[in-house]
Amino acid sequence: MASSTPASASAPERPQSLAQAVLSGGTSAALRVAQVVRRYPFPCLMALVLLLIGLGSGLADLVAPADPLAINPRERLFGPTTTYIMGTDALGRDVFTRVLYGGRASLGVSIASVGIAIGISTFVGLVSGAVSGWLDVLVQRIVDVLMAFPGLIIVISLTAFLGNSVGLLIVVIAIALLGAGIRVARAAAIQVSSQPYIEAARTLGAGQARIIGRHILPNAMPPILVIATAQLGIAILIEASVSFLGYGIQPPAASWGFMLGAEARIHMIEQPWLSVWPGLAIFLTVFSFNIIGDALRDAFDPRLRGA
Amino acid sequence: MRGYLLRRLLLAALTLLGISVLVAGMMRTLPGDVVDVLAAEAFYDDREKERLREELGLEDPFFVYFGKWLGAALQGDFGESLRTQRSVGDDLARRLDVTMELAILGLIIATTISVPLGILAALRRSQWPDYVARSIAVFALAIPGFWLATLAVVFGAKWFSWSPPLGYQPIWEAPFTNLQQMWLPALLFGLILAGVQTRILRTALLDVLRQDYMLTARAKGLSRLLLLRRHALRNSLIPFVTVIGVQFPVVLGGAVVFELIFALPGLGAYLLDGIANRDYVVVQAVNVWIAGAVIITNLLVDVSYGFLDPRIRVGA
Repeated sequence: MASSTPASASAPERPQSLAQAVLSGGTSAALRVAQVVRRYPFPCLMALVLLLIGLGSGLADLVAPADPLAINPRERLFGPTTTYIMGTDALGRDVFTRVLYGGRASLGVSIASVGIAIGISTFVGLVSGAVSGWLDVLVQRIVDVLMAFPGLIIVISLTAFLGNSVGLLIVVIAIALLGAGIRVARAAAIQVSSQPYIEAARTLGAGQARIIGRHILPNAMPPILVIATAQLGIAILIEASVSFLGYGIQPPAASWGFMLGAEARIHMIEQPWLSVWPGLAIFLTVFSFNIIGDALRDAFDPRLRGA
Repeated sequence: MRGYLLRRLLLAALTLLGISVLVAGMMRTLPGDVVDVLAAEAFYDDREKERLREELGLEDPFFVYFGKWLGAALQGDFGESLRTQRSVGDDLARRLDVTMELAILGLIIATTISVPLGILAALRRSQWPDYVARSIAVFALAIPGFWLATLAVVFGAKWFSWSPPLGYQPIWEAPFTNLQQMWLPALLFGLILAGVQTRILRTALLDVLRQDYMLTARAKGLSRLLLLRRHALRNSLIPFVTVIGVQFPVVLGGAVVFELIFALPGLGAYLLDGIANRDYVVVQAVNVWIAGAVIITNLLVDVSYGFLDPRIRVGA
């Protein structure tokens, strides 16, 4: 779609978007933050929520009130109490603690797989979009194959035969995300390549590598950043589905998906809270990523505002 | 149009070949040996292991193995299940019905929700109908389908004493019982899918609505309804249909989870059984079939472009 032009690449006489104003500096840091918050109150709130989830999960060792694996048969299947703010599971483990540790697993897997996917797809997409010719045709065919790749299904098939390895989970989720990533990066590269300043750089004698690295890459960044944010949410959902089916992160380690799986389903009638918390955690995280992604797109491309 | 179709068909075949190589390659590069995994669980001795390796073609170099597999697959022979000794092709054909029914019902429900919602949001942009529609869409995008389905099954049973009739009935034999079993998974599935669709339709419509030709048509005195139907909707159909195609791998992936939760004997359930039985032949076949279903859907989407947009029909 023509509408995904990176705004930061276009002529300076257009009124500056807030994102540009923020990036170009000129105001104090505090003022900039205030501006962003005023322009995007809800996305900022969701960013804060995400930050809390991220910190809580990342620092689970320090923050968690209990041991995620400590079993306490006498206090099993509690609802929320003052001691156990999210209650306890069938083995009497603290659910809040397990949600924190589960977040560490889910976020870790999704950040790692999106990192790999975006790194590769940026490189491949930009080169293919900028160089064109037979290489581009080949890449497009590969993207076709990757887009038809039923991610979730291949992830469970492979983890089932490989034994469950977190590394494998990360790699396969990354493969499932590659197609869309390459597509976006390539489209951005094609868009940027047609700009006069690329021609100018070429006239000045810049080589292909320099043009891609110094000129196309920075200007193609906005759409790539937007898709990366969206993919963080998708990766969380894939990981959760796989773990829900029991083929992802293995018990007794906690993960959001697994907590909703067999663990919660058996005791759902007895203790419905068990299936509320991890689901809510997944929902909030994915929701935040989506809202932030929308706001980023909005900030990078004012023409799409509200689109 | 014929050239266009032919080109698309060729590309689809190429993609299917590519994905078969990828799936087979991934299954082959698994560290260790599938036969060892199988043997450990079934207590095979060395001679049986040897026979199984031979039978699966694991002794051959990859491309010989793949060539043999492909040759058989092209004739509809996907091998025999290691566990049940039944023809995988026959089993797949039977189960494809269930999954396709779920996917198609889900897509119909999703479209029924997303089309009015998307139109409303685009026409009442930045007003409350837009905010409501967008909120619903963003919520639907972020809710894990398996969570929603589990909640529905458990609380349906707990609060309304409702549960789908046991024992799956094919739609061709007992349509009423079948729909009793299918409506809830299809509805939840549709709700989840409607999120992406609503967003895409809204964006596409907004894109069309600000085009100059819309202003021209309006200036010529076309009524708003006609304008919407003849110009705006028609032109936003391409991105909308594209997203249905792009969603399809997700749809089939989601079907696995929904089939598990609602105990429907579709491709997903077959795959999970295959995995639980370490049935290499079944797992590989299901993956290729699902990829095939995705590619055929995308082919249909590509073909529909030709009908939707005369420029594509002529240009390609």
